[in-house]
Amino acid sequence: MDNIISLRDVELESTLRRSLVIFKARGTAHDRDIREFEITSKGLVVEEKFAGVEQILGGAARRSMTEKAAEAWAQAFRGRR
Amino acid sequence: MTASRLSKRLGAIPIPILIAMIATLAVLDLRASFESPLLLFALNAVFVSLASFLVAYISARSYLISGSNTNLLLGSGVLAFGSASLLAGWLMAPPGGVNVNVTIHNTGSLLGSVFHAVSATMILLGVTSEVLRFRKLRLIITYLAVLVLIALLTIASLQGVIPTFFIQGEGPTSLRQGVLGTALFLFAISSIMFMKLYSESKSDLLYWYSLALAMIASGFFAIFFSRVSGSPVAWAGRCAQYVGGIYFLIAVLTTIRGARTKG
Repeated sequence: MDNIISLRDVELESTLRRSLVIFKARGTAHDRDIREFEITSKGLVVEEKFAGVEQILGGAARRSMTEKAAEAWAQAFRGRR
Repeated sequence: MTASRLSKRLGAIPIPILIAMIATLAVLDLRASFESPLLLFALNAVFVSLASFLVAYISARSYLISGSNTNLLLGSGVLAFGSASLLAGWLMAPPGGVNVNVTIHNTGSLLGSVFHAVSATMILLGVTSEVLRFRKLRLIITYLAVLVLIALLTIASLQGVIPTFFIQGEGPTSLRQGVLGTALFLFAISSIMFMKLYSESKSDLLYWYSLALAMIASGFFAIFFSRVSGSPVAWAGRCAQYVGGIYFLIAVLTTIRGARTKG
């Protein structure tokens, strides 16, 4: 087998998102980031990696502790709206 | 009474104690001095800089998520205060000295207090704005600019470009009193504004953050009356700032604990 690419749905905060990761590419170095992708009218669009998210490949994706803390911090200092 | 409410009440106890101690020492005006550059550097590094850098880090992460300018301003404020305290502690020894130490600390604190006051005012007035694009780039540029500014102030102070702030034995100059007084006022005002926000949102984080700023302002109040570096009142002022650093750490830990509880 020359290349192994995993495409799978990821449940994150009540939303189904799509992930892409290259496990193996014969004879060449490759990106090891787990990236989000979308299927649009123009084709498949690979986006940024899932920053601050853990357990994507395990099937139970969740935001990392640091990310949650940062979100709470941002919320507290958002103040009056 | 819940554990959280009890810890908040207990946490506020050091404030009146330190203020009473500062007031007593300021009235007594003891001129004895104890200065240990290594001890000052270690205490500043652990209790002020480390805590400030942690707050700067979490503010940076928050800015990347929310794009809120108030997070960027808070992060820049603690970064300026923390890095100035670190450099000031380090430069108490040669090639620095008392004047260099006071100049770097006070100017860095003024910069930090301005960032805090602007941020607190924006939050209180509800005029926060959110950046959608180039967050990482803006963050890097802003934090770098703060660090470069502190570095330039340090170099200028070492070169004697900045007018004298403090003469050991004689006391502070009027320029230094103006700079420190402004920083004191801005930190105190910011603390009051954050406490006002806490009274509305009941966010534990805002409570501890407000106390941290109040302690830093109290520390500046003590230093304001100090005529001799390393005098008892100066050390009381430093202790107040270290307690402020501990409150910063509690604010961060409260946030992490809250995030963990929510799962």
